[in-house]
Amino acid sequence: MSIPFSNTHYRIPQGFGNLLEGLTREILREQPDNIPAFAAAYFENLLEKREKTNFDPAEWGAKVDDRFYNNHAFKEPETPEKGEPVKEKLQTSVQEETPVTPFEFSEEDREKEEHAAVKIQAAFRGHLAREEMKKKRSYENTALAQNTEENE
Amino acid sequence: MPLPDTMFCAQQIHIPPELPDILKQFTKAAIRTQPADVLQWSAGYFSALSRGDPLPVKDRVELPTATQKTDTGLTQGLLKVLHKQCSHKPMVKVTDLERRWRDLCLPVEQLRALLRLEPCEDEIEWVKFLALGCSMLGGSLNSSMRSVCEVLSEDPEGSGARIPFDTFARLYRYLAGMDPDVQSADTETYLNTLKANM
Repeated sequence: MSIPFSNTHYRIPQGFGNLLEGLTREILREQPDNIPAFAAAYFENLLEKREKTNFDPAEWGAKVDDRFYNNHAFKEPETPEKGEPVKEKLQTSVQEETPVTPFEFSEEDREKEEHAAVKIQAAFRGHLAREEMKKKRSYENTALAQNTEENE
Repeated sequence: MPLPDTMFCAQQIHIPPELPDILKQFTKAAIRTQPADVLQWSAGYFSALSRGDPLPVKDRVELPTATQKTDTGLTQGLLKVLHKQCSHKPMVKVTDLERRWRDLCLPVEQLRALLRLEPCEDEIEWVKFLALGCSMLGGSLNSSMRSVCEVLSEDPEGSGARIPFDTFARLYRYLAGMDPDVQSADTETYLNTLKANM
């Protein structure tokens, strides 16, 4: 373990990691005999490319690093009206809340309602069917009774 | 050794035995030198390494001394690097100088401005250029000469930064001659008293 004896932080230059990674990858891929010469040619090539296309791999790597380490996406956006009085802010927040709540409820309960409606309808239909059966049976019974009366 | 066509595992990758050390030295040099333009500097580093030239690397980290007022990009550490690279010959080619200048991520316009002070064909005497560079660092003649001494000195850093009197006198006369306000008689009396005190 190294112990820092000074309060100066040695910083790796911006985007250096990206260059180092690219260089190592190319060296391992090409397996050159003379590594310094190969590296010189590699960087000359990158420089030429940068002049032509304006693409700097170091800059790009730095940007990627920045995006990775300083991710602001999850941070809350700042409220736009800072100078306005608190009272109005409260009102607006209340106004914002009221329309939100019923909307959420209806969304949640829509399925429940649907279920309940199906159940009620099923029960009512069953009840109707049973009524009908009852009527039929009582009718048959009376008919039977009439028949028997007639027969007697 | 060429790599096999099909890769199955990481053990198949042949790592050249000298590669880790090269990468380590490269990284250490980058941290120590803190180049402004990493890509440009890396190209210069490896071209110097492949030719066996002195590397464009500072001996130690320089704290950023530049303020907004004096941000010329040039620092004493960078001049020392250039001195390491160029001082093996008394004269240095302007094209060489320009390439090294660019590899240290310094603006070429600044070099042109410096060279305008010392009109030359395609070669310039190195110590003269060094003196000019030092004059760009510090405002006064004294601070410029202090920088010259610190770069030229063979003494370890932090000690007296001694240089031969002849060299000092020559560069002092040269820089003093650049300044129209300084009388040449004053320069000579200063140098004479300095010699008498030695």
